[in-house]
Amino acid sequence: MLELFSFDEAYVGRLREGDPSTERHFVAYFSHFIQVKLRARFLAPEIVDDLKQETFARVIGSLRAQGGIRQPDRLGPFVNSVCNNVLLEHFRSAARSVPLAPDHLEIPDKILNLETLAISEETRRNVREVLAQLPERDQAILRAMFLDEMTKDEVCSRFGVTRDYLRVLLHRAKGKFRQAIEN
Amino acid sequence: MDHDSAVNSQACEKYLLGELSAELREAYEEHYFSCAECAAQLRLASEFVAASQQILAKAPVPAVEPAYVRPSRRSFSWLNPVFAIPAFALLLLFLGYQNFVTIPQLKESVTPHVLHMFSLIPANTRGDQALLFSVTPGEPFGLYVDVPADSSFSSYFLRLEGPQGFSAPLRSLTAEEAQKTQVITIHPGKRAGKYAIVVSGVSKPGAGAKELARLQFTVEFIK
Repeated sequence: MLELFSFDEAYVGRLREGDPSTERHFVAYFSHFIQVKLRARFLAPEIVDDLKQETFARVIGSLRAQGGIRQPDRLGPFVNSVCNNVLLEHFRSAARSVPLAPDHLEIPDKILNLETLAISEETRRNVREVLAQLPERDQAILRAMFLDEMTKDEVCSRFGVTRDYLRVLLHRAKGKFRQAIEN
Repeated sequence: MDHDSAVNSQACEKYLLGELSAELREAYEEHYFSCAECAAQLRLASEFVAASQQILAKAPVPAVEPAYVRPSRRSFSWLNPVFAIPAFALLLLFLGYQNFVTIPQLKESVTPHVLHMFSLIPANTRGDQALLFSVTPGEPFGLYVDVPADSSFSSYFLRLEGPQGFSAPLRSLTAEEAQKTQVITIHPGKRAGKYAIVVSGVSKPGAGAKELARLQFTVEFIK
Protein backbone atom coordinates (compact mmCIF):
# COMPACT_ATOMS: atom_id res chain seq x y z
CA MET A 1 0.00 0.00 0.00
CA LEU A 2 2.87 2.37 0.70
CA GLU A 3 3.76 2.50 -2.96
CA LEU A 4 6.87 4.30 -4.14
CA PHE A 5 6.31 4.46 -7.84
CA SER A 6 8.49 6.00 -10.53
CA PHE A 7 7.44 6.33 -14.15
CA ASP A 8 9.72 5.28 -16.99
CA GLU A 9 9.65 5.26 -20.75
CA ALA A 10 8.20 1.77 -20.92
CA TYR A 11 5.30 2.81 -18.70
CA VAL A 12 4.57 5.93 -20.72
CA GLY A 13 4.82 3.87 -23.90
CA ARG A 14 2.23 1.37 -22.66
CA LEU A 15 -0.02 4.22 -21.56
CA ARG A 16 0.28 5.85 -24.96
CA GLU A 17 -0.69 2.59 -26.63
CA GLY A 18 -3.72 2.21 -24.44
CA ASP A 19 -2.60 -0.84 -22.46
CA PRO A 20 -5.61 -1.49 -20.17
CA SER A 21 -3.70 -2.50 -17.01
CA THR A 22 -1.33 0.46 -17.34
CA GLU A 23 -4.27 2.80 -17.85
CA ARG A 24 -6.00 1.34 -14.78
CA HIS A 25 -2.86 1.84 -12.70
CA PHE A 26 -2.38 5.37 -14.04
CA VAL A 27 -5.94 6.40 -13.22
CA ALA A 28 -5.90 4.71 -9.80
CA TYR A 29 -2.53 6.24 -8.87
CA PHE A 30 -3.25 9.82 -9.91
CA SER A 31 -6.97 9.89 -9.05
CA HIS A 32 -6.11 10.06 -5.39
CA PHE A 33 -3.66 12.94 -5.73
CA ILE A 34 -5.82 14.91 -8.16
CA GLN A 35 -8.79 14.58 -5.81
CA VAL A 36 -6.72 15.70 -2.81
CA LYS A 37 -5.36 18.63 -4.84
CA LEU A 38 -8.82 19.70 -5.95
CA ARG A 39 -10.31 19.22 -2.47
CA ALA A 40 -7.51 21.48 -1.19
CA ARG A 41 -9.34 24.23 -3.10
CA PHE A 42 -12.54 23.31 -1.24
CA LEU A 43 -14.35 22.50 -4.46
CA ALA A 44 -17.61 20.54 -4.33
CA PRO A 45 -17.32 16.77 -4.96
CA GLU A 46 -19.17 16.90 -8.28
CA ILE A 47 -16.85 19.64 -9.55
CA VAL A 48 -13.85 17.62 -8.34
CA ASP A 49 -15.06 14.66 -10.41
CA ASP A 50 -15.57 16.78 -13.52
CA LEU A 51 -12.17 18.44 -13.28
CA LYS A 52 -10.47 15.11 -12.55
CA GLN A 53 -12.01 13.54 -15.66
CA GLU A 54 -11.01 16.55 -17.74
CA THR A 55 -7.44 16.32 -16.44
CA PHE A 56 -7.15 12.63 -17.35
CA ALA A 57 -8.65 13.21 -20.80
CA ARG A 58 -6.16 15.96 -21.57
CA VAL A 59 -3.16 14.02 -20.25
CA ILE A 60 -4.01 10.91 -22.28
CA GLY A 61 -4.74 13.09 -25.30
CA SER A 62 -1.36 14.80 -24.98
CA LEU A 63 0.43 11.46 -24.59
CA ARG A 64 -1.08 10.16 -27.79
CA ALA A 65 -0.49 13.35 -29.72
CA GLN A 66 2.53 13.51 -31.92
CA GLY A 67 5.55 14.23 -29.73
CA GLY A 68 3.79 13.26 -26.52
CA ILE A 69 5.71 13.67 -23.26
CA ARG A 70 9.45 14.01 -23.82
CA GLN A 71 10.56 13.08 -20.31
CA PRO A 72 8.69 10.02 -18.96
CA ASP A 73 9.98 10.56 -15.43
CA ARG A 74 8.21 13.93 -15.50
CA LEU A 75 4.79 12.34 -15.99
CA GLY A 76 3.75 13.33 -12.47
CA PRO A 77 4.57 17.04 -12.84
CA PHE A 78 2.88 16.97 -16.27
CA VAL A 79 -0.34 15.67 -14.72
CA ASN A 80 -0.10 18.38 -12.05
CA SER A 81 0.47 21.04 -14.71
CA VAL A 82 -2.55 19.91 -16.76
CA CYS A 83 -4.66 19.89 -13.58
CA ASN A 84 -3.53 23.46 -12.83
CA ASN A 85 -4.67 24.57 -16.31
CA VAL A 86 -8.01 22.83 -15.88
CA LEU A 87 -8.43 24.56 -12.50
CA LEU A 88 -7.57 27.96 -13.93
CA GLU A 89 -10.10 27.57 -16.72
CA HIS A 90 -12.72 26.46 -14.20
CA PHE A 91 -12.19 29.56 -12.01
CA ARG A 92 -12.23 31.88 -15.03
CA SER A 93 -15.43 30.29 -16.27
CA ALA A 94 -17.01 30.52 -12.83
CA ALA A 95 -15.98 34.19 -12.54
CA ARG A 96 -17.78 34.98 -15.79
CA SER A 97 -21.05 33.46 -14.66
CA VAL A 98 -21.01 34.32 -10.96
CA PRO A 99 -19.50 37.50 -9.52
CA LEU A 100 -16.69 36.54 -7.19
CA ALA A 101 -16.53 37.99 -3.71
CA PRO A 102 -13.35 39.83 -2.78
CA ASP A 103 -12.28 36.96 -0.55
CA HIS A 104 -12.98 34.21 -3.08
CA LEU A 105 -9.35 33.12 -3.16
CA GLU A 106 -9.14 32.78 0.60
CA ILE A 107 -9.10 29.21 1.77
CA PRO A 108 -11.14 28.46 4.92
CA ASP A 109 -9.03 27.64 7.98
CA LYS A 110 -10.26 24.05 8.06
CA ILE A 111 -8.89 20.61 7.41
CA LEU A 112 -9.49 19.20 3.93
CA ASN A 113 -12.76 17.30 3.55
CA LEU A 114 -11.69 14.00 2.02
CA GLU A 115 -14.72 12.00 3.11
CA THR A 116 -15.67 11.16 -0.47
CA LEU A 117 -12.34 9.51 -1.28
CA ALA A 118 -12.66 5.82 -2.07
CA ILE A 119 -11.20 3.95 0.90
CA SER A 120 -10.80 0.19 1.09
CA GLU A 121 -12.34 -1.76 3.95
CA GLU A 122 -8.86 -2.87 5.01
CA THR A 123 -7.75 0.74 5.30
CA ARG A 124 -10.85 1.59 7.30
CA ARG A 125 -10.12 -1.34 9.60
CA ASN A 126 -6.54 -0.18 10.19
CA VAL A 127 -7.62 3.40 10.79
CA ARG A 128 -10.34 2.26 13.20
CA GLU A 129 -7.62 0.44 15.14
CA VAL A 130 -5.42 3.54 15.19
CA LEU A 131 -8.29 5.78 16.34
CA ALA A 132 -9.17 3.38 19.14
CA GLN A 133 -5.60 3.58 20.44
CA LEU A 134 -5.69 7.35 20.67
CA PRO A 135 -6.58 9.03 23.98
CA GLU A 136 -10.24 10.09 24.09
CA ARG A 137 -9.20 13.72 24.05
CA ASP A 138 -7.27 13.26 20.81
CA GLN A 139 -10.22 11.40 19.33
CA ALA A 140 -12.42 14.35 20.26
CA ILE A 141 -9.93 16.77 18.72
CA LEU A 142 -9.90 14.80 15.47
CA ARG A 143 -13.69 14.64 15.54
CA ALA A 144 -13.90 18.42 16.01
CA MET A 145 -11.49 18.99 13.13
CA PHE A 146 -12.85 16.37 10.77
CA LEU A 147 -16.57 16.54 11.35
CA ASP A 148 -17.69 19.57 13.28
CA GLU A 149 -16.27 21.92 10.65
CA MET A 150 -14.68 24.03 13.32
CA THR A 151 -11.79 26.23 12.31
CA LYS A 152 -8.48 25.23 13.75
CA ASP A 153 -8.48 28.31 15.98
CA GLU A 154 -11.82 27.18 17.39
CA VAL A 155 -10.46 23.67 17.95
CA CYS A 156 -7.35 25.03 19.69
CA SER A 157 -9.46 27.29 21.88
CA ARG A 158 -11.97 24.59 22.74
CA PHE A 159 -9.40 21.96 23.68
CA GLY A 160 -6.64 24.21 24.98
CA VAL A 161 -4.07 23.06 22.44
CA THR A 162 -1.80 24.82 19.97
CA ARG A 163 -1.67 24.53 16.21
CA ASP A 164 1.60 22.65 16.59
CA TYR A 165 -0.27 20.06 18.65
CA LEU A 166 -2.73 19.51 15.81
CA ARG A 167 0.10 18.94 13.34
CA VAL A 168 1.93 16.59 15.71
CA LEU A 169 -1.31 14.70 16.38
CA LEU A 170 -1.84 14.15 12.67
CA HIS A 171 1.81 13.23 12.20
CA ARG A 172 1.71 10.67 15.04
CA ALA A 173 -1.57 9.22 13.82
CA LYS A 174 -0.07 8.86 10.35
CA GLY A 175 2.88 7.00 11.89
CA LYS A 176 0.59 4.63 13.81
CA PHE A 177 -1.41 4.05 10.63
CA ARG A 178 1.78 3.16 8.78
CA GLN A 179 2.72 0.70 11.54
CA ALA A 180 -0.74 -0.85 11.40
CA ILE A 181 -0.37 -1.42 7.65
CA GLU A 182 3.12 -2.86 7.96
CA ASN A 183 2.00 -5.21 10.72
CA MET B 1 10.13 23.09 -2.69
CA ASP B 2 12.68 20.29 -2.40
CA HIS B 3 12.30 17.04 -0.54
CA ASP B 4 14.16 18.09 2.61
CA SER B 5 12.11 21.29 2.86
CA ALA B 6 8.90 19.35 2.45
CA VAL B 7 9.83 16.90 5.21
CA ASN B 8 11.35 19.38 7.65
CA SER B 9 8.49 21.85 7.34
CA GLN B 10 5.86 19.10 7.86
CA ALA B 11 4.38 20.19 4.55
CA CYS B 12 2.25 17.02 4.34
CA GLU B 13 0.45 17.71 7.62
CA LYS B 14 0.15 21.42 6.95
CA TYR B 15 -1.24 20.73 3.48
CA LEU B 16 -3.98 18.48 4.81
CA LEU B 17 -4.71 20.88 7.65
CA GLY B 18 -5.12 23.66 5.09
CA GLU B 19 -2.29 25.67 6.62
CA LEU B 20 -0.12 26.31 3.57
CA SER B 21 -0.29 29.61 1.76
CA ALA B 22 -1.44 29.41 -1.86
CA GLU B 23 2.16 29.72 -3.01
CA LEU B 24 3.49 26.98 -0.70
CA ARG B 25 0.51 24.79 -1.50
CA GLU B 26 1.31 24.92 -5.20
CA ALA B 27 4.99 24.34 -4.52
CA TYR B 28 4.22 21.30 -2.38
CA GLU B 29 1.83 19.94 -5.03
CA GLU B 30 4.46 20.33 -7.70
CA HIS B 31 6.84 18.45 -5.42
CA TYR B 32 4.63 15.50 -4.47
CA PHE B 33 3.61 14.94 -8.08
CA SER B 34 7.30 14.34 -8.77
CA CYS B 35 8.63 12.82 -5.52
CA ALA B 36 7.65 9.20 -5.02
CA GLU B 37 8.42 9.26 -1.28
CA CYS B 38 6.41 12.41 -0.56
CA ALA B 39 3.60 11.10 -2.74
CA ALA B 40 3.53 7.92 -0.64
CA GLN B 41 3.53 9.92 2.62
CA LEU B 42 0.72 12.15 1.40
CA ARG B 43 -1.28 9.14 0.28
CA LEU B 44 -0.85 7.57 3.72
CA ALA B 45 -1.89 10.73 5.56
CA SER B 46 -4.77 11.57 3.25
CA GLU B 47 -6.16 8.04 3.44
CA PHE B 48 -5.99 8.28 7.23
CA VAL B 49 -7.88 11.59 7.15
CA ALA B 50 -10.46 10.29 4.67
CA ALA B 51 -11.06 7.04 6.55
CA SER B 52 -11.23 8.88 9.89
CA GLN B 53 -13.83 11.26 8.50
CA GLN B 54 -15.90 8.33 7.29
CA ILE B 55 -15.52 6.37 10.54
CA LEU B 56 -16.07 9.27 12.94
CA ALA B 57 -19.15 10.36 11.02
CA LYS B 58 -20.82 7.16 12.15
CA ALA B 59 -19.30 6.81 15.62
CA PRO B 60 -20.76 8.08 18.92
CA VAL B 61 -19.20 11.27 20.21
CA PRO B 62 -16.52 10.70 22.83
CA ALA B 63 -16.97 12.51 26.14
CA VAL B 64 -14.16 14.95 26.66
CA GLU B 65 -14.27 17.94 28.91
CA PRO B 66 -13.69 20.94 26.64
CA ALA B 67 -10.73 22.98 27.75
CA TYR B 68 -12.86 25.87 28.87
CA VAL B 69 -15.02 23.76 31.16
CA ARG B 70 -13.46 23.70 34.55
CA PRO B 71 -14.43 20.75 36.78
CA SER B 72 -16.37 21.73 39.88
CA ARG B 73 -13.65 20.27 42.08
CA ARG B 74 -11.61 23.38 41.28
CA SER B 75 -14.35 25.65 42.62
CA PHE B 76 -13.74 26.63 46.21
CA SER B 77 -16.58 29.11 46.58
CA TRP B 78 -18.50 26.71 48.84
CA LEU B 79 -15.64 26.81 51.36
CA ASN B 80 -16.69 30.30 52.37
CA PRO B 81 -17.31 29.97 56.12
CA VAL B 82 -20.68 31.74 55.91
CA PHE B 83 -21.76 29.20 53.35
CA ALA B 84 -20.33 26.17 55.11
CA ILE B 85 -23.42 24.37 56.45
CA PRO B 86 -25.49 23.95 53.30
CA ALA B 87 -22.32 23.50 51.25
CA PHE B 88 -21.01 20.68 53.45
CA ALA B 89 -24.41 18.99 53.44
CA LEU B 90 -24.44 19.03 49.68
CA LEU B 91 -20.84 17.84 49.62
CA LEU B 92 -21.72 14.83 51.76
CA LEU B 93 -24.60 13.96 49.46
CA PHE B 94 -22.35 14.37 46.45
CA LEU B 95 -19.59 12.20 47.95
CA GLY B 96 -22.17 9.57 48.80
CA TYR B 97 -23.44 9.53 45.24
CA GLN B 98 -19.89 9.30 43.88
CA ASN B 99 -18.93 6.45 46.22
CA PHE B 100 -22.07 4.41 45.98
CA VAL B 101 -23.15 5.05 42.41
CA THR B 102 -20.63 6.68 40.07
CA ILE B 103 -17.42 4.89 41.07
CA PRO B 104 -18.93 1.38 41.10
CA GLN B 105 -20.37 2.06 37.66
CA LEU B 106 -16.99 3.25 36.42
CA LYS B 107 -15.29 0.16 37.81
CA GLU B 108 -17.69 -2.02 35.85
CA SER B 109 -16.36 -0.50 32.72
CA VAL B 110 -13.19 -2.53 32.02
CA THR B 111 -12.49 -1.20 28.57
CA PRO B 112 -12.44 2.39 27.38
CA HIS B 113 -15.59 3.36 25.55
CA VAL B 114 -16.90 6.47 23.91
CA LEU B 115 -19.68 8.42 25.59
CA HIS B 116 -22.75 9.27 23.58
CA MET B 117 -23.30 13.02 23.82
CA PHE B 118 -26.56 14.95 23.63
CA SER B 119 -27.33 18.62 23.89
CA LEU B 120 -29.73 19.91 26.49
CA ILE B 121 -29.18 23.45 25.30
CA PRO B 122 -32.51 23.70 23.43
CA ALA B 123 -34.42 22.21 26.43
CA ASN B 124 -37.64 23.98 27.32
CA THR B 125 -37.80 24.88 30.99
CA ARG B 126 -41.53 25.23 31.05
CA GLY B 127 -44.39 22.98 30.12
CA ASP B 128 -44.29 19.44 28.87
CA GLN B 129 -41.85 19.80 26.07
CA ALA B 130 -38.80 17.68 26.84
CA LEU B 131 -36.00 16.26 24.76
CA LEU B 132 -35.92 12.51 24.22
CA PHE B 133 -32.62 10.65 24.40
CA SER B 134 -32.34 7.03 23.37
CA VAL B 135 -29.48 5.30 25.17
CA THR B 136 -28.18 1.82 25.87
CA PRO B 137 -29.39 0.44 29.22
CA GLY B 138 -26.74 0.73 31.92
CA GLU B 139 -24.54 2.98 29.78
CA PRO B 140 -23.74 6.54 30.83
CA PHE B 141 -24.22 9.41 28.43
CA GLY B 142 -23.16 13.03 28.34
CA LEU B 143 -25.13 16.24 28.17
CA TYR B 144 -24.13 19.70 27.05
CA VAL B 145 -25.90 22.10 29.37
CA ASP B 146 -26.16 25.88 29.37
CA VAL B 147 -26.92 27.42 32.76
CA PRO B 148 -29.34 30.38 32.58
CA ALA B 149 -26.84 32.68 34.23
CA ASP B 150 -28.04 35.92 35.75
CA SER B 151 -25.86 38.73 37.06
CA SER B 152 -27.82 38.79 40.33
CA PHE B 153 -26.45 35.35 41.33
CA SER B 154 -22.94 34.69 42.56
CA SER B 155 -23.08 30.89 42.36
CA TYR B 156 -25.24 28.10 41.01
CA PHE B 157 -26.12 24.52 41.95
CA LEU B 158 -27.12 21.79 39.57
CA ARG B 159 -29.16 18.81 40.79
CA LEU B 160 -30.43 15.83 38.84
CA GLU B 161 -33.97 14.64 39.44
CA GLY B 162 -35.17 11.39 37.93
CA PRO B 163 -37.83 8.69 38.04
CA GLN B 164 -39.10 7.22 41.30
CA GLY B 165 -38.08 10.28 43.26
CA PHE B 166 -34.41 9.95 42.41
CA SER B 167 -32.43 13.09 43.25
CA ALA B 168 -28.68 13.71 43.29
CA PRO B 169 -26.48 16.79 43.29
CA LEU B 170 -24.37 17.31 40.20
CA ARG B 171 -22.09 20.26 40.72
CA SER B 172 -21.72 23.82 41.90
CA LEU B 173 -20.54 26.65 39.70
CA THR B 174 -19.20 30.11 40.20
CA ALA B 175 -20.79 32.93 38.23
CA GLU B 176 -17.85 32.86 35.83
CA GLU B 177 -18.06 29.12 35.28
CA ALA B 178 -21.80 29.38 34.68
CA GLN B 179 -21.10 31.49 31.59
CA LYS B 180 -19.70 28.43 29.85
CA THR B 181 -21.41 25.34 28.51
CA GLN B 182 -21.20 22.47 31.01
CA VAL B 183 -20.55 18.83 30.16
CA ILE B 184 -22.46 16.54 32.54
CA THR B 185 -22.27 12.75 32.61
CA ILE B 186 -25.54 11.00 33.42
CA HIS B 187 -25.70 7.44 34.73
CA PRO B 188 -29.31 6.37 34.21
CA GLY B 189 -28.60 2.80 35.29
CA LYS B 190 -31.89 0.99 34.76
CA ARG B 191 -34.04 4.08 35.24
CA ALA B 192 -35.69 5.14 32.03
CA GLY B 193 -38.17 7.98 32.24
CA LYS B 194 -38.41 11.67 32.84
CA TYR B 195 -35.43 13.56 34.20
CA ALA B 196 -34.65 17.17 34.92
CA ILE B 197 -31.52 19.08 35.68
CA VAL B 198 -32.60 21.65 38.24
CA VAL B 199 -30.57 24.83 38.19
CA SER B 200 -30.62 26.97 41.32
CA GLY B 201 -28.90 30.27 41.90
CA VAL B 202 -27.56 31.80 45.10
CA SER B 203 -27.36 35.57 45.18
CA LYS B 204 -24.90 35.79 48.07
CA PRO B 205 -23.26 33.46 50.58
CA GLY B 206 -25.74 32.38 53.22
CA ALA B 207 -28.79 33.23 51.13
CA GLY B 208 -31.22 30.53 50.09
CA ALA B 209 -31.03 28.98 46.65
CA LYS B 210 -33.62 30.03 44.11
CA GLU B 211 -34.72 27.59 41.44
CA LEU B 212 -33.99 29.16 38.07
CA ALA B 213 -34.69 26.43 35.56
CA ARG B 214 -35.72 22.82 35.13
CA LEU B 215 -34.03 21.43 32.03
CA GLN B 216 -36.21 18.46 31.26
CA PHE B 217 -35.38 15.41 29.20
CA THR B 218 -36.64 11.87 28.85
CA VAL B 219 -34.43 8.81 28.74
CA GLU B 220 -35.56 5.77 26.82
CA PHE B 221 -33.55 2.61 26.45
CA ILE B 222 -32.61 1.18 23.09
CA LYS B 223 -33.78 -2.41 22.84
